[in-house]
Amino acid sequence: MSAIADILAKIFGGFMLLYMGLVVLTYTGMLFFSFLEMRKQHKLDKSALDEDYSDSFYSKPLSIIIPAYNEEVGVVDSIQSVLNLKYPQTELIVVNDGSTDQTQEIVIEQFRMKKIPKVVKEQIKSKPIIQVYQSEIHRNLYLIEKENGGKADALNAGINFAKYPYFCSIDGDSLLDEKSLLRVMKPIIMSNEEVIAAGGNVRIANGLDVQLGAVHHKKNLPNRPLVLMQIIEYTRAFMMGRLALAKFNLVLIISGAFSVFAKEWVIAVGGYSTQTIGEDMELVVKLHRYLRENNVDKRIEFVPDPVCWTEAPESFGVLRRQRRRWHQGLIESLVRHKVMTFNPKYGKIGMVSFPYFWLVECFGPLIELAGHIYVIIAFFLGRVYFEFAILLALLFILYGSVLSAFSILMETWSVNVYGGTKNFFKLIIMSLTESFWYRPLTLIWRCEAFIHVLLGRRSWGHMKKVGLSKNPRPDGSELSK
Amino acid sequence: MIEISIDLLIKGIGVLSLILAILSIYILLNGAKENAVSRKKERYLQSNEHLWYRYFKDEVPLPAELIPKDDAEIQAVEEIFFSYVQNLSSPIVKEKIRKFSNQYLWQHYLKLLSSKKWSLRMNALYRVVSFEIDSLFDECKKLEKRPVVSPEERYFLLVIRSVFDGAGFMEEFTKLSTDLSEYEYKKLLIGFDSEVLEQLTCQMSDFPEEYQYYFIDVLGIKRNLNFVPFLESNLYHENVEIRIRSLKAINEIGIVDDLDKYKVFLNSPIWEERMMLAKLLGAFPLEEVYPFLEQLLQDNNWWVRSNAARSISHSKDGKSRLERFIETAQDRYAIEMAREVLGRG
Repeated sequence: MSAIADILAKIFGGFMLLYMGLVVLTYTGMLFFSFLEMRKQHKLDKSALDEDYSDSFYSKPLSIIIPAYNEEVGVVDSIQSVLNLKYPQTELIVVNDGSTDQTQEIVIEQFRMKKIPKVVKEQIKSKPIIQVYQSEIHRNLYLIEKENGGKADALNAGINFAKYPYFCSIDGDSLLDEKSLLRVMKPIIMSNEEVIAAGGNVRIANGLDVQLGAVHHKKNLPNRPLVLMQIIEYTRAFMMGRLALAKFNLVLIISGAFSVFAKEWVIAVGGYSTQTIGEDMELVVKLHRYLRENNVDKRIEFVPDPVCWTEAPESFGVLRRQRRRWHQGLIESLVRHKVMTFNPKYGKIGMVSFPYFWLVECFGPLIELAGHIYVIIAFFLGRVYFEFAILLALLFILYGSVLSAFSILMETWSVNVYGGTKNFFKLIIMSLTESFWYRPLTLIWRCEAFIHVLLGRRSWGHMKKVGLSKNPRPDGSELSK
Repeated sequence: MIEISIDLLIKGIGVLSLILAILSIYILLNGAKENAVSRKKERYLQSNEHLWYRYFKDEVPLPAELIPKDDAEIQAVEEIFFSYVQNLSSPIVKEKIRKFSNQYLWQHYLKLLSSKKWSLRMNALYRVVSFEIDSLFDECKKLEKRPVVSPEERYFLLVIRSVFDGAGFMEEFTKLSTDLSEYEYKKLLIGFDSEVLEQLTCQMSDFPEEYQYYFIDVLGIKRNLNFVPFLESNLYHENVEIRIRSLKAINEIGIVDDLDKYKVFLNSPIWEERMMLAKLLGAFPLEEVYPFLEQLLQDNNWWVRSNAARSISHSKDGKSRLERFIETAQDRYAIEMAREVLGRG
């Protein structure tokens, strides 16, 4: 009996080593790739070049949709931030998804909104629109009041109302840099519309100074380890996932917090799905699927510039719910489109992205958590296991802490969003602790998602609220790992 | 075997930590250097910004202290120049910037142009265009002959040609293959005078198909009345896209006289043509075109109805016409549309 256990333990240990080795190699490869990309752009004077694109003759007009559900606190700041954006031609559509608080009243009062009769062409099914308002101060600002249907449904209503060929979805509690739209539209404008969707790089704004919808950085980062850790996580996700995946058109997630889509294609795939928790990932997967099934040669891009700021959860409880929810969304999307896995019909998406997302992003937490438990048990069993345990533990440290620290280094060297020596040290030191507490915690939370999926727990009423108000998925495929 | 791996891994992590430490120090030193540069730049800006302003306003001859002495000061001068070039287009100021750059900055950009780093070359090219540094034109032409030229550089080199060598550029322009994006192509075209564009109209049919579309779009953007006859001559083109874009461009220009040329689109099977017509009819006196607009208001396409309603409402007595229409019409969708447009106004 113990002999069998012995063999099983060894096999599992061997498997874990192999798995972790592969994952570390993959991420190191992606990190190196990102380094090449960042090096190319290093010292490029983007702010001068931006001016070149801000001319209304060539920029494509854009509808900005802000879904809002019970956001009375942040909604005015959000709208202000959008009104401050540098972009030649936009309309701003705030969709009040049946809020039960003062969201609507506050917006109406602040921006002097007046009712207008408006027939909305329903190109995507959505819950009925009750009333449309237009601002008397900013004529391009609209408010749609509709029945509650969730974030996805609110976005669909916004798309139906939008009059421009591109739309951008922004979460009610995110803030944008004034050049965000220019930067995120650039790949679309420059590619002759070959790029049909582009996501921006989302950053955390906790502790930074926010005034009239503008983020003033260069401040000291907060001291809370949980927030610092999330800043590191977002950076890492970007440096080790998005940038490399986007280059090869392999991206399955672009952040719901800030992304631009060509309306035509989103309508073609039926808009945001109201049936899944992670509607942002679901939309991107649907788009990829549609493109491959119809043999259309289009791309989905990711823009490296830090353009969207969001508030990260500061308590373990909220963070736990958020991560569980993200992972649940990931699992659901992968299951829904499982036929694409290893299906040559879907090209690189089917042959590379899907297997990668299944193995590393989806089942990764289960495997890793098992590995952590194995390390602890093996440690006490002594003998050969002891060495296994140490080896595996070192790999975990390499994977969690060292790679994160390198991401921070690269970020400081290239974009340096947070600035300052003090901030740099805070982040580097904190990143080295990742393997010892933060990583295991997020693993457990993500594993909980499996239980929720298996039990069919959707807890819709609650989910809707979380989805609309707080904490968009940052950007990281890596995050859902 | 495992012991060896552990050993290896510990060493590996040790080496990585060492690299991490070294890189951290490098980044810190680098950051300190950059801070010093930006402080220096700030100092230059603070003490000289006003002097530049006075120099541009012809109040003083070029003071010697304005000539930048190092990279930090060059950055400061660039910032001042960009703020003038991008926000204000006084020919005198532009000429001063051109002269100054040609005299004092060209060596700096020459160095950047021959840099191995793509980003530095791009920065230099952009400045050659913005500050019109013609003394570097030959140097730029050399760049074209490099074995690998990125699309971004190729575009800027074209722009540079168009700025410094108009005639040679025109020849090249008509032979352009399709590797420019819509944005780039239009941006080049926009830079041309209307006379040049008029000359190009004769050659349009030789352009690649997509470029023909962009060309028509730009004629619309230019809003020059002289283009209308050419655009109207395209209304019967066999290519639908050219017809629609021509209609759109005419609509942008906003002046049409001969209604008969457009009537064919009233019953076009292509809704985009009917929609463009609905828009265009807004330019005519309402009593002349109301029957057509009423027909389009009852079109089976939402966009056609919407534009027809809007065209009617823009006229002086359009609102009363729409109100009357609502009372008498049968078509539910048309009535809804009329209502919406009325409410909006």
